[in-house]
Amino acid sequence: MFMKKIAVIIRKSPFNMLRNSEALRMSVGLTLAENSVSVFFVDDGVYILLPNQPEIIKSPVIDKHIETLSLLNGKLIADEESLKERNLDNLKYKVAIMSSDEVFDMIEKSDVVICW
Amino acid sequence: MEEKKLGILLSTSPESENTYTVIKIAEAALLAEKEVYIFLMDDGVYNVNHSDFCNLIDKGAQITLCTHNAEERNVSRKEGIKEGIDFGSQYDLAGIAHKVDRFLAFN
Repeated sequence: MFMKKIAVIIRKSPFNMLRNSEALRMSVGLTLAENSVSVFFVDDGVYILLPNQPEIIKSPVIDKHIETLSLLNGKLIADEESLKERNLDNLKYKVAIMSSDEVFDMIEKSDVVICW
Repeated sequence: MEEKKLGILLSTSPESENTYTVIKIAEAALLAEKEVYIFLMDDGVYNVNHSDFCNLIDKGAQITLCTHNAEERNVSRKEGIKEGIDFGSQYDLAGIAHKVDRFLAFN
Protein backbone atom coordinates (compact mmCIF):
# COMPACT_ATOMS: atom_id res chain seq x y z
CA MET A 1 0.00 0.00 0.00
CA PHE A 2 1.39 3.39 -0.88
CA MET A 3 2.06 6.18 1.59
CA LYS A 4 -0.17 9.19 1.04
CA LYS A 5 1.40 12.61 1.65
CA ILE A 6 -0.75 14.85 3.80
CA ALA A 7 0.03 18.51 4.42
CA VAL A 8 -1.63 20.22 7.37
CA ILE A 9 -1.25 24.00 7.30
CA ILE A 10 -1.71 25.97 10.51
CA ARG A 11 -2.03 29.70 9.84
CA LYS A 12 -3.86 31.17 12.79
CA SER A 13 -2.53 32.50 16.06
CA PRO A 14 -2.91 30.21 19.08
CA PHE A 15 -3.99 33.13 21.26
CA ASN A 16 -7.46 33.75 19.90
CA MET A 17 -8.62 30.32 18.91
CA LEU A 18 -8.72 26.82 20.33
CA ARG A 19 -8.59 25.07 17.00
CA ASN A 20 -4.81 24.88 16.66
CA SER A 21 -4.73 22.18 19.30
CA GLU A 22 -7.42 20.32 17.35
CA ALA A 23 -5.43 20.70 14.14
CA LEU A 24 -2.43 19.11 15.86
CA ARG A 25 -4.54 16.37 17.44
CA MET A 26 -5.97 15.62 14.01
CA SER A 27 -2.43 15.52 12.59
CA VAL A 28 -1.43 12.90 15.16
CA GLY A 29 -4.50 10.86 14.22
CA LEU A 30 -3.67 11.06 10.51
CA THR A 31 -0.42 9.18 11.11
CA LEU A 32 -2.44 6.11 12.16
CA ALA A 33 -3.06 5.08 8.56
CA GLU A 34 -0.43 4.77 5.82
CA ASN A 35 -0.01 8.54 5.67
CA SER A 36 3.10 10.69 5.71
CA VAL A 37 2.06 13.78 7.65
CA SER A 38 3.75 17.16 7.46
CA VAL A 39 2.55 20.10 9.54
CA PHE A 40 3.39 23.57 8.24
CA PHE A 41 3.34 26.57 10.56
CA VAL A 42 2.72 29.60 8.39
CA ASP A 43 1.73 33.24 9.03
CA ASP A 44 0.47 33.64 12.61
CA GLY A 45 0.63 29.86 13.03
CA VAL A 46 4.33 30.22 13.88
CA TYR A 47 3.36 31.71 17.26
CA ILE A 48 2.43 28.18 18.37
CA LEU A 49 6.12 27.34 18.35
CA LEU A 50 6.98 29.85 21.07
CA PRO A 51 7.38 28.78 24.72
CA ASN A 52 3.70 29.44 25.47
CA GLN A 53 1.89 28.18 28.53
CA PRO A 54 -1.66 27.54 27.31
CA GLU A 55 -2.60 25.74 30.53
CA ILE A 56 -2.44 29.04 32.43
CA ILE A 57 -5.47 30.31 30.50
CA LYS A 58 -7.02 26.83 30.41
CA SER A 59 -6.36 26.60 26.70
CA PRO A 60 -5.98 23.15 25.14
CA VAL A 61 -2.54 21.52 25.17
CA ILE A 62 -0.06 21.83 22.36
CA ASP A 63 3.07 20.12 23.81
CA LYS A 64 1.60 16.63 23.92
CA HIS A 65 0.48 16.70 20.28
CA ILE A 66 3.75 18.10 18.94
CA GLU A 67 5.81 15.58 20.90
CA THR A 68 3.60 12.69 19.78
CA LEU A 69 3.72 13.83 16.20
CA SER A 70 7.51 13.89 16.30
CA LEU A 71 7.59 10.38 17.80
CA LEU A 72 5.33 9.14 15.01
CA ASN A 73 7.65 10.59 12.35
CA GLY A 74 5.43 13.53 11.50
CA LYS A 75 7.34 16.44 9.98
CA LEU A 76 7.10 19.86 11.60
CA ILE A 77 8.02 22.76 9.37
CA ALA A 78 8.03 26.49 10.04
CA ASP A 79 7.93 29.05 7.26
CA GLU A 80 11.08 31.16 7.49
CA GLU A 81 9.48 34.34 6.15
CA SER A 82 6.64 34.11 8.67
CA LEU A 83 9.19 33.82 11.50
CA LYS A 84 11.25 36.77 10.21
CA GLU A 85 8.22 39.03 9.73
CA ARG A 86 7.36 38.49 13.39
CA ASN A 87 10.94 38.58 14.69
CA LEU A 88 10.64 35.14 16.22
CA ASP A 89 13.68 33.04 16.99
CA ASN A 90 13.14 31.55 20.47
CA LEU A 91 11.25 28.49 19.33
CA LYS A 92 10.36 25.89 21.92
CA TYR A 93 10.12 22.95 19.54
CA LYS A 94 12.59 21.38 17.17
CA VAL A 95 11.15 22.15 13.75
CA ALA A 96 12.59 22.39 10.29
CA ILE A 97 12.72 25.96 9.03
CA MET A 98 12.16 26.29 5.30
CA SER A 99 11.77 29.13 2.87
CA SER A 100 8.32 29.91 1.51
CA ASP A 101 9.38 28.43 -1.85
CA GLU A 102 10.34 25.17 -0.20
CA VAL A 103 7.12 25.13 1.83
CA PHE A 104 5.10 25.76 -1.30
CA ASP A 105 6.96 23.02 -3.12
CA MET A 106 6.23 20.47 -0.41
CA ILE A 107 2.56 21.45 -0.22
CA GLU A 108 2.23 21.23 -3.98
CA LYS A 109 3.59 17.70 -3.92
CA SER A 110 1.13 16.59 -1.24
CA ASP A 111 -1.81 14.33 -2.04
CA VAL A 112 -4.04 15.93 0.58
CA VAL A 113 -3.90 19.49 1.94
CA ILE A 114 -5.82 20.47 5.07
CA CYS A 115 -5.72 24.12 6.03
CA TRP A 116 -6.67 25.41 9.50
CA MET B 1 -8.16 5.61 -13.63
CA GLU B 2 -11.52 7.15 -12.76
CA GLU B 3 -11.65 8.85 -9.40
CA LYS B 4 -14.53 7.42 -7.43
CA LYS B 5 -14.08 8.43 -3.81
CA LEU B 6 -14.49 11.84 -2.22
CA GLY B 7 -13.56 12.63 1.37
CA ILE B 8 -14.77 15.73 3.18
CA LEU B 9 -13.70 17.11 6.55
CA LEU B 10 -16.10 19.57 8.21
CA SER B 11 -15.06 21.21 11.46
CA THR B 12 -17.39 24.21 11.62
CA SER B 13 -20.83 24.37 13.17
CA PRO B 14 -24.06 24.52 11.09
CA GLU B 15 -24.16 28.34 11.31
CA SER B 16 -21.20 28.46 8.94
CA GLU B 17 -21.82 28.55 5.20
CA ASN B 18 -19.50 25.53 5.02
CA THR B 19 -22.40 23.25 5.90
CA TYR B 20 -24.39 24.38 2.86
CA THR B 21 -21.32 24.03 0.65
CA VAL B 22 -20.63 20.52 1.91
CA ILE B 23 -24.25 19.51 1.36
CA LYS B 24 -24.22 20.75 -2.21
CA ILE B 25 -20.84 19.23 -3.06
CA ALA B 26 -21.81 15.90 -1.51
CA GLU B 27 -25.14 15.83 -3.34
CA ALA B 28 -23.43 16.52 -6.67
CA ALA B 29 -20.82 13.83 -6.03
CA LEU B 30 -23.46 11.27 -5.05
CA LEU B 31 -25.48 12.07 -8.16
CA ALA B 32 -22.34 11.42 -10.17
CA GLU B 33 -22.17 8.03 -8.43
CA LYS B 34 -19.12 8.81 -6.34
CA GLU B 35 -18.61 7.40 -2.88
CA VAL B 36 -18.75 10.22 -0.34
CA TYR B 37 -17.16 10.01 3.10
CA ILE B 38 -17.72 12.91 5.49
CA PHE B 39 -15.87 13.32 8.78
CA LEU B 40 -17.08 15.75 11.42
CA MET B 41 -14.81 17.08 14.12
CA ASP B 42 -14.55 20.07 16.46
CA ASP B 43 -17.73 22.18 16.16
CA GLY B 44 -18.56 20.22 13.03
CA VAL B 45 -20.16 17.54 15.21
CA TYR B 46 -23.08 19.92 15.75
CA ASN B 47 -24.11 19.23 12.15
CA VAL B 48 -25.78 16.05 13.38
CA ASN B 49 -28.62 18.41 14.38
CA HIS B 50 -28.94 19.78 10.84
CA SER B 51 -31.62 17.80 9.02
CA ASP B 52 -30.54 18.62 5.46
CA PHE B 53 -27.01 17.61 6.30
CA CYS B 54 -28.10 14.33 7.89
CA ASN B 55 -30.29 13.54 4.90
CA LEU B 56 -27.06 12.97 2.98
CA ILE B 57 -27.06 9.55 4.61
CA ASP B 58 -30.27 8.63 2.81
CA LYS B 59 -28.59 9.72 -0.42
CA GLY B 60 -25.65 7.39 0.18
CA ALA B 61 -23.03 9.42 2.03
CA GLN B 62 -21.15 7.92 4.94
CA ILE B 63 -20.90 10.27 7.89
CA THR B 64 -18.51 9.69 10.77
CA LEU B 65 -17.78 12.00 13.65
CA CYS B 66 -15.08 12.32 16.28
CA THR B 67 -16.53 10.90 19.49
CA HIS B 68 -14.02 12.87 21.60
CA ASN B 69 -15.31 16.18 20.19
CA ALA B 70 -18.91 14.97 20.47
CA GLU B 71 -18.50 14.14 24.15
CA GLU B 72 -16.88 17.53 24.82
CA ARG B 73 -20.02 19.13 23.38
CA ASN B 74 -22.58 16.73 24.91
CA VAL B 75 -23.53 15.44 21.49
CA SER B 76 -24.45 11.85 22.09
CA ARG B 77 -26.26 8.96 20.49
CA LYS B 78 -29.69 9.92 21.59
CA GLU B 79 -33.15 10.20 20.15
CA GLY B 80 -33.15 12.67 17.34
CA ILE B 81 -29.72 11.83 15.96
CA LYS B 82 -30.06 10.28 12.55
CA GLU B 83 -29.45 6.57 12.41
CA GLY B 84 -26.38 5.72 10.40
CA ILE B 85 -24.09 8.42 11.75
CA ASP B 86 -20.99 6.64 12.94
CA PHE B 87 -19.43 7.73 16.25
CA GLY B 88 -15.79 7.17 15.37
CA SER B 89 -12.39 8.70 15.99
CA GLN B 90 -9.41 10.38 14.32
CA TYR B 91 -8.38 6.91 13.20
CA ASP B 92 -11.40 6.91 10.92
CA LEU B 93 -10.32 10.25 9.45
CA ALA B 94 -6.86 8.81 8.81
CA GLY B 95 -8.43 5.94 6.90
CA ILE B 96 -10.72 8.23 4.93
CA ALA B 97 -7.86 10.56 3.96
CA HIS B 98 -5.85 7.55 2.84
CA LYS B 99 -8.47 5.79 0.75
CA VAL B 100 -10.19 8.63 -1.11
CA ASP B 101 -9.17 10.01 -4.47
CA ARG B 102 -9.99 13.62 -3.53
CA PHE B 103 -10.16 15.24 -0.13
CA LEU B 104 -11.69 18.57 0.78
CA ALA B 105 -11.40 20.29 4.15
CA PHE B 106 -13.86 22.90 5.37
CA ASN B 107 -12.38 24.45 8.51
